[in-house]
Amino acid sequence: MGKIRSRITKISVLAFIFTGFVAVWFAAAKVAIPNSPDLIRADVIAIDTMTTFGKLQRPIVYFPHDLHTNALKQQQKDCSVCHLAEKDRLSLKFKRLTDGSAEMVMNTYHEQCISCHRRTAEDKMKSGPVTCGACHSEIPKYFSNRKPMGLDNSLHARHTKALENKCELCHHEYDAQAKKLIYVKEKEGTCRYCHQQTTQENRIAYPIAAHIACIDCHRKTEATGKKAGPVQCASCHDPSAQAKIEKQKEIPRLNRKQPDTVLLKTSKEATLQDAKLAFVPFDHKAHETYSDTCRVCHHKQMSNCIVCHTLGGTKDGKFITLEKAMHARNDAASCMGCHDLKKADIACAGCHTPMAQKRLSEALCIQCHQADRRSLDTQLQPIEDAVLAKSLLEARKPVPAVLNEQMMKDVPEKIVIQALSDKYQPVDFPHRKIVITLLKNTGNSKLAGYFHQSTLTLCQGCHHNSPASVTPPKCQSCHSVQPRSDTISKPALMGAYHIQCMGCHQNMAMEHPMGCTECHKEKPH
Amino acid sequence: MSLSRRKFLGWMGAAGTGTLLKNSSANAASNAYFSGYPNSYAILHDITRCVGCRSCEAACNSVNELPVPEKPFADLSVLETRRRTTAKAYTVVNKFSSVAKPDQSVYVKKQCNHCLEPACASACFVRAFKKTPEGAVTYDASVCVGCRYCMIACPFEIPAYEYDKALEPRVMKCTMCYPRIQKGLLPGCVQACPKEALTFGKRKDILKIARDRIGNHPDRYIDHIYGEREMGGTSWLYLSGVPFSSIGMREDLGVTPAPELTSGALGAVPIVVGLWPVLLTGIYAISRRKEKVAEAEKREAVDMAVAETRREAASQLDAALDKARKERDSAVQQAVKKALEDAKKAQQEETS
Repeated sequence: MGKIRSRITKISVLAFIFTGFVAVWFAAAKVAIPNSPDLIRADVIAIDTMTTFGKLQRPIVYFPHDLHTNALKQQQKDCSVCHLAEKDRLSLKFKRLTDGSAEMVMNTYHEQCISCHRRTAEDKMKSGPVTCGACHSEIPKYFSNRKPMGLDNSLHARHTKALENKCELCHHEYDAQAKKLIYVKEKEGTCRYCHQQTTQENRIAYPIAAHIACIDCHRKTEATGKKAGPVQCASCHDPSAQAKIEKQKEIPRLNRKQPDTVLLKTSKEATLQDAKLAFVPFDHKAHETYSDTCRVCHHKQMSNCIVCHTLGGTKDGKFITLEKAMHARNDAASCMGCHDLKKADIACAGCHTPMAQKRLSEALCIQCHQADRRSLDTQLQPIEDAVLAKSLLEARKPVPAVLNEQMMKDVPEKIVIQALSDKYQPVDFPHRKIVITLLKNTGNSKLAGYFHQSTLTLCQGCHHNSPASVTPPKCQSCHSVQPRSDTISKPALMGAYHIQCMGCHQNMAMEHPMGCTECHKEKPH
Repeated sequence: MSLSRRKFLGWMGAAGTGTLLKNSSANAASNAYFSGYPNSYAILHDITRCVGCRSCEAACNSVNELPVPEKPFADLSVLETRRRTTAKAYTVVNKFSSVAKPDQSVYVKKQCNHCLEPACASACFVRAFKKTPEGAVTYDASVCVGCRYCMIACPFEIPAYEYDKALEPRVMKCTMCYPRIQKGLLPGCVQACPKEALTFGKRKDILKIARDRIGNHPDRYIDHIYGEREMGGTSWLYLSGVPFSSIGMREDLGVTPAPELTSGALGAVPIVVGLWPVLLTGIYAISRRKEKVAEAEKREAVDMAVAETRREAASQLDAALDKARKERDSAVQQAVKKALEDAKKAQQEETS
């Protein structure tokens, strides 16, 4: 009896120690982002084909694609080592054209990968793993920094130029009757309209479509000895490589017979004469250059906004009403949302970021809603909407971003701020220099030129809550020198200066001033 | 009198809840719902405004007459290490890198949050901590016994201790500048902040200001006022542009005040400590009395038995004496009779 008991004790102690070890080991094996740069890659492909066949026996394999491409290049081999030809293009699958059965897919990978790794190792070259766990590991060996890639206007223009305006090389539509892909001129759209994120019926998924089309064309172009696009994963998907992609400055306008100017109706049926709310003239041509894709505004199709976004909303428009579609703040797809985002540009952010998002005033509504039957002379011959829009847009005069000499005289050149003079020397505040900078910044902005009510609106950036005037009140008129308990929602003078000056400098991404003494010169000891 | 275990426990429970339900509204650490003193003050720390200049630390050091630190307050290199409040610094500013913009820094001031229902006060068994109606949680060193339960209780890890003092070490923490508040002055840090990242006022006004800021700048702020309800609410409130958990502020504290979590158990302490002796003494007394009564009865019975025997013995003696007397009398009589007869006989003989 005693013997058995002592044995049980021994076993349980050992088991306890073992459990402890295992626990420590697992705790130590936490997934962490590796520090070494070759472990952070943009070319990591998750080989998860087997998930379509049911539960996995082992973890999925993360496969560094470029590593293999480069290794093959060194051996004077090309893509066809791994990818089989299908029609006249290479299949994206590995060593097969279809995923027959689980067994077939698994055997393909195991036999082909391992045998190649073994051969490479026999040839005394650096080679890949041949044991199960080395590929099928719970903890991914690589950390993916892959960034999705798209064709922006500049890249599109470069392709157009290289392919000599042969749109049909990429753009196609599916003709359901003839059951084949056809090209319809001036109906070009983004690939995403048909190719969704996953394969639907006979439409392959967007990532597959893109890789088949882009890489195949890049390979074939390269083979002819011409300058061609990349075939390596990292060249497109690595964030730093993406940033280095050459930007074309002059981007010719994409031509799909789209209008130059549009008169946006405030309801689907209304005519200008009986509309309750004035129509909005819209400069379509100019806005084409403000964003990188047509998708930003036109999401799913190149039709008029009002087709889906009706007054009451429709299912196609996700029940987003016309009003919301145009005015939703902080949403890049709506007019005002996009304009709001533009205010975050560093040229504008200094003044606009501290401002609270105000309710719109009537004065602002009529900035856009101009085509009003009451103000327009309806006695005139009825003219086409687009023509009316064009004339209204041309009639707009941007706010000048210059102050005449007389006005400039009223702008103090320097303001000496005496506060904190017990600790530091007074601050020389370069007032006029700042005014000139703001004038220069807004002069480059059509948005500012159109929406600022007057040149003096600029003064209201700092002299907030005061009327636009060339001699606005001083900061002290509202901000008391000492903090007061009855005005805690309003900063006292020191806070006001610092919040205003530092906030603006921060929002405009200015590095200076650094520390206190760049503004507040130290007192001589 | 018999007392079952069930009955006894029932009494205990009744006595306990009776004490707990006693509504003491003046006591912030009671179990009644307490939403803070209505006119208490609070301070809003707008983290998006803070530039990490350490002016608040310097001001705190001077108004509280704390020892001069090794490195001057103008030295911003101390921000590179994560710090916590100490006995020599009631407040520290820490630097974090922004989650959204890793190149930008976020500065967070740390000090006592002056909970509406302070955990430190509820853990203190000598009542050295007191939540004042103005909002400050004050500390009375004269009654402190140095157990440092407050330091364990504080969810924000704030109270520090003068470990280097051999005689009468104190617990050290921000006082919300209670003496200054009473004089109508601003707390030192608030007065000094050049960017008004700190705003002092009535808690209800401060909450309104915080909500307005979030409402006016929904893109600048996380939609949460830290301290509005954390741990039942605090007198320091925070606004941030980055998630609070990313700048070292716990978001797992819940909204229950610490005293509420412990008041049930702690409320029973006086009962248990006070009532057990009484009850047990009572039970002891009852059982003692029982013993006494039994003994007295026993003694009575014995006495009675003894008396009875004595009585019997006496009567037997009397009877024996009686009998002896009778026997003696009859013997005398017989002797007399015999003597008379003898005399008669003799007379007859003389006469015959």
